[in-house]
Amino acid sequence: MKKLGFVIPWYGPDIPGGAEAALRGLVEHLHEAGVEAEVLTTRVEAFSADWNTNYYPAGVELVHGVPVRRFDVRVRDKEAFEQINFKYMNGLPVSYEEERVFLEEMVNSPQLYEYMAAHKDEYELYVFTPYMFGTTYYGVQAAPEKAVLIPCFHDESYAYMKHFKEVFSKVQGMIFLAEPEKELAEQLYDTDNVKKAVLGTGIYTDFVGDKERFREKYKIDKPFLLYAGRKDVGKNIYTLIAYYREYVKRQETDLQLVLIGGGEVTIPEDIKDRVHDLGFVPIQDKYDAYAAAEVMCNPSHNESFSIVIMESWLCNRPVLVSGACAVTKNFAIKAAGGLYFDTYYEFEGALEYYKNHPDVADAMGANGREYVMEHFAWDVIVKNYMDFFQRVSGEQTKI
Amino acid sequence: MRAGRREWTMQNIDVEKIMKEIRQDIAEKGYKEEDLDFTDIAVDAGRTGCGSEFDENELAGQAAYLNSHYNNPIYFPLKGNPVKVFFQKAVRRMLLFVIFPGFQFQNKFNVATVRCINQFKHYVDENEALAKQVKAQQEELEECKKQLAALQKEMKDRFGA
Repeated sequence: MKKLGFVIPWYGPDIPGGAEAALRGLVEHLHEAGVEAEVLTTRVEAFSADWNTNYYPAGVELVHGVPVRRFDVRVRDKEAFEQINFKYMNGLPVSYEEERVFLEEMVNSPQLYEYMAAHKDEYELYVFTPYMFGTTYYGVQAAPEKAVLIPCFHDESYAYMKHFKEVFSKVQGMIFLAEPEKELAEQLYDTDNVKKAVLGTGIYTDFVGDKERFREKYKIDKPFLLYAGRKDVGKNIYTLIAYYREYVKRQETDLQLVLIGGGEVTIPEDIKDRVHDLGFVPIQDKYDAYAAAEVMCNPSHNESFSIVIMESWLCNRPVLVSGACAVTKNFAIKAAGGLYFDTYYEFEGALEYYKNHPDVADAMGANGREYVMEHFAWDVIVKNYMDFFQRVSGEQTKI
Repeated sequence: MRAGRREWTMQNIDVEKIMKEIRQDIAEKGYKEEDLDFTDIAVDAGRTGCGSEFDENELAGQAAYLNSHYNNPIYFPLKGNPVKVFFQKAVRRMLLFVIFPGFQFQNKFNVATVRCINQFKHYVDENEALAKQVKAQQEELEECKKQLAALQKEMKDRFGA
């Protein structure tokens, strides 16, 4: 098999979270497994940086042993882009012409696309992620016969663009993080001729949580419900706080709420003594917190994978997720590793169920761990991705 | 798979069945969501798409839109069936003396709002530029400190304490 080219708008050793970190983990593990993988990207620093600034030097740099080939970014009309992006963010109608301007005036590198077209014979496949950037839309068109997409689709306004509909039906393969994402892609695009697989992403599994250590260090000896992640309105943190507050008002319970992660959140005065906002904690303390928790709650409506529920399962604890999030709900059901809630009373019912059935709660945690080890441990992910790449390219080479 | 080593396994735990039991219990107790009041905490605020952290791109996008859409023209073009358009124009003309002052007031208010937003944006931009300058100067200072430490060490090595 020839080398694999992974295309992403920005790439660096420290970009946290999301598709960027997932791709970095994938290429580094493929590299460790002896697969020739290269990253093709722009010189832009990160999503949060200025998309008109060439931050990294042009050319090839090794990042943790993986060659990263960077190209100049095209100077864009930021205002034209923002005008249309405003419409997308607010659900306003966007014309076909505006879609074109949106795609043209976002992060793009014509040099990258020229390179991809000119050197396509050197690469077995080009793998693009995530779906909504210029590097994917125009990159796919540089060599559709070699294109595989790891789209990270969400059910959001951008996914409905006609331009994406036209181009994404031409790719050779699509890899999804979860089953609902695949269903969404099949609804939105013509994928009849596209090879598809739901593979997820890799999770580091080599850690153990110590509940006693957590309880001792943070002086929390009562049972607690855990929230792990950025404390952001968009993550639906206030639903959790409101529901928890109602729960302790209605039930005779010692249950505490422990929050770990960045961001700020307002805790109502009447529950301040039982909500422990620990902020950022060392990574081992996070694993210890999972192990010590009765249950880990992720109330977010909009997750494409949810590493925190996987980590909770790896520490053998069950989860409680939002029923409005197709992805986390699907994982909870498939893994038999957690319950979900659409209303306050379901939230209360689920917590009561866990309290009254500790053996089932423990078994759900263990089920979750088995599910993660079987599907998302890095060795499994490397094998599944390579099997898929070989299926798409028609090669039978073994790694 | 560790199935068989414990009583409850992936095979015999049915999440949907448990959820059904929970829902049945809620129905039997007669609980209704509308009896609850979460108005003092903005439950589901996440669905507005408005994050709680500063987002430069969001501010730029919203500001760009405001700057080009603050003026609501009273004479927006009417399209479609010519007869219908004629009547719409007639009605508009007849009501003009009622709605025009309101439009004027709203547009003046919009201009003032957009100017305020622009001032905030300038302030944010200026501060961002200053923050970058401070960061660069800090890096320079750190570099100077390192060089000074290296020089001091060299002096010490060469000439003693």
